Amino acid sequence: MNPVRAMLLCCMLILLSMEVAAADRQVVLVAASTSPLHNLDSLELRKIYLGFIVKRDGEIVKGLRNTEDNNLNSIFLQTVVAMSEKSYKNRLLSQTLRQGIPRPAEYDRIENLSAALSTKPYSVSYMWKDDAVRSSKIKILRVLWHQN
Amino acid sequence: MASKLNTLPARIILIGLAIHAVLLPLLFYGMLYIVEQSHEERFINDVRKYSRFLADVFELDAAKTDEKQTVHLLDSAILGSGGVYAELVEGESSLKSSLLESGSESLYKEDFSFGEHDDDIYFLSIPLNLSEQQVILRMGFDELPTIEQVKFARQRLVVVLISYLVVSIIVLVLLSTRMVRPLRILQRSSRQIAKGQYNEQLHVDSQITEIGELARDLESMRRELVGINASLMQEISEKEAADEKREELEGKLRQSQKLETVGVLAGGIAHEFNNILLPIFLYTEQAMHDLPAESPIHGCLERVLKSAKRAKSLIQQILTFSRQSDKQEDKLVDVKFIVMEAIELLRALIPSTVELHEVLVDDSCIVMADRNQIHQLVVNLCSNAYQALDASGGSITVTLDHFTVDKQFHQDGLHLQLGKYIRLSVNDTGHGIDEHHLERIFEPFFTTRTVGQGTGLGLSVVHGIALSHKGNISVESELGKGTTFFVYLPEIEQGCDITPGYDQKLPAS
Repeated sequence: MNPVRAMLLCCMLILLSMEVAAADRQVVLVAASTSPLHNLDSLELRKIYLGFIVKRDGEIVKGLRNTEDNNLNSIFLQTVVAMSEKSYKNRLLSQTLRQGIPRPAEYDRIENLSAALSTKPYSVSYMWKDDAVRSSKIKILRVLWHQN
Repeated sequence: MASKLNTLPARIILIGLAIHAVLLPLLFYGMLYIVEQSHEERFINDVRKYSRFLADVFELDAAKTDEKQTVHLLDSAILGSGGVYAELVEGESSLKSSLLESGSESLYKEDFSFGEHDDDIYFLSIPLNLSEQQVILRMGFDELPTIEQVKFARQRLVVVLISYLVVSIIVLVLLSTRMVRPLRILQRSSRQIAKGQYNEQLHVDSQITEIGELARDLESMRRELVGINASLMQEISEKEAADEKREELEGKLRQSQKLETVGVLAGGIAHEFNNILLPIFLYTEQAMHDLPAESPIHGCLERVLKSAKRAKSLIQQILTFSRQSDKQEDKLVDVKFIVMEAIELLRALIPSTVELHEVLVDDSCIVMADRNQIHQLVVNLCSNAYQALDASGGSITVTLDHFTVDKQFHQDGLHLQLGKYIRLSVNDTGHGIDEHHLERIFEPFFTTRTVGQGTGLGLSVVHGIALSHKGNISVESELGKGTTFFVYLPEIEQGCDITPGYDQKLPAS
């Protein structure tokens, strides 16, 4: 085979595989694999991340933020809290100042987020499905968003 | 052009424009960024909230919602929110709003920021948690109204900034004019000072500290210059006066030296003539004695003798002028009585059209003098005054008073020693003497009268008498108004026993 053709074919295959991988991207709601949490509906999830109290088995469910990726953050703002970033920050600031509720902890590395989820069984977070699948310490509760 | 740009107002305006040229674009783009961010953030927040709310409605009502109600709800979502796209996707199937045009689904590209994909529609998808089904709500919202709002805000911003620029330029012009006004006053004043016109007081009303201080400094400089100029002017006038005085004194000195020289010369000649006259007198008288009275030669000899006597009288006057007369017999005399005697004599001689006044001091005026010479002095001065009057008459005033020669008077060039003097002044209301004649008035044989009406020795004799008595004479004259002669004679302290009308020998010292 002509080497040029072979290179072009390789490039096309690589691009195609990337497209396929991109098409499968999903953002999922996760918790520690040992967590007693099974599912949380959209309203509960918004409440958790907006600083309102949601309890399971008498325990307060905490929301941890994954700030590893800007796209992930945008998806979180659009599908979970349904706010602009500025409004969300203002809302959290207002909650903190008015009711003393701490804002959700933020993690910019998956390892740290996984470790935090493991130590806090009544905590939930969100991440790309690929990352969630790779970790045995994490279980997927449900899909929050998937690419069209 | 360049000089106009170098003026302060032009510089202030240019600097202001340069600052605005830098700041206004920054301000414009900064404000535009804030406006854009604000509008976009509000848009995103609204559409996300609305979509989430709709998703919640679907999740909550899922059990009892059929297909028709779902489409109705999607239509309502579009109508109620200004949306342009609404779709509910479940696996491979989907339900769309009946308000959508066919083929609009091909536009769908999910956005996470305003203006993404340049399709003017903000698409977003919300996964719905409906039992086990994977259902996604897709919504699309028109970005154009927000874009138009931003565009309108940009236009208003441009208008506001242009208005601001215009106002700033007007303020700059007014400010620069106001700042420059006191500087122009200062400039005008400094130019006037440079031209030597610094009598006008400088008044600058400025609230700017530096300009105020500059004005005060310039004003104090002007005042110093005024003071310096005044002192310079005074020095110059003093110097001019001193020069004038010096020239006058030099003139008087020259005149005095001239008179001295003439006096010495005339005195020498007079002595020689006196010696020549002596044999003429002797032999003429001898011849007249020897000849009979009826001899025709006797008359001729009488004429010779008469002429010789006239010559002797003339010589005597010359000797008096040159102060070489050996006939001066100084005694303590009261000048007042001598003057009174002379005036009595003159009253008989001068016509009644001439008024003769005497203003004499009450007390005595004792001087060491030759009575006859003082008498001659008074008569000569009064005769001279009478001759100065025209035919219609006039007045002569003889004044006698005490006078003290001080340093100031001493400097006027009369060469009198400091002390007390008797001052005799003779004033007439005649035609006066012009300046040119005044310089030569004491020269012997100088006369303005026609030949035969005077020898020109009268004032020369007066001058000689005054000097021979350690006094002096001066004259002041004004054309058309008259002339005054002042004779100064040293006064003898009172206490000496002087009998009025009698002479007394000076005690030997």
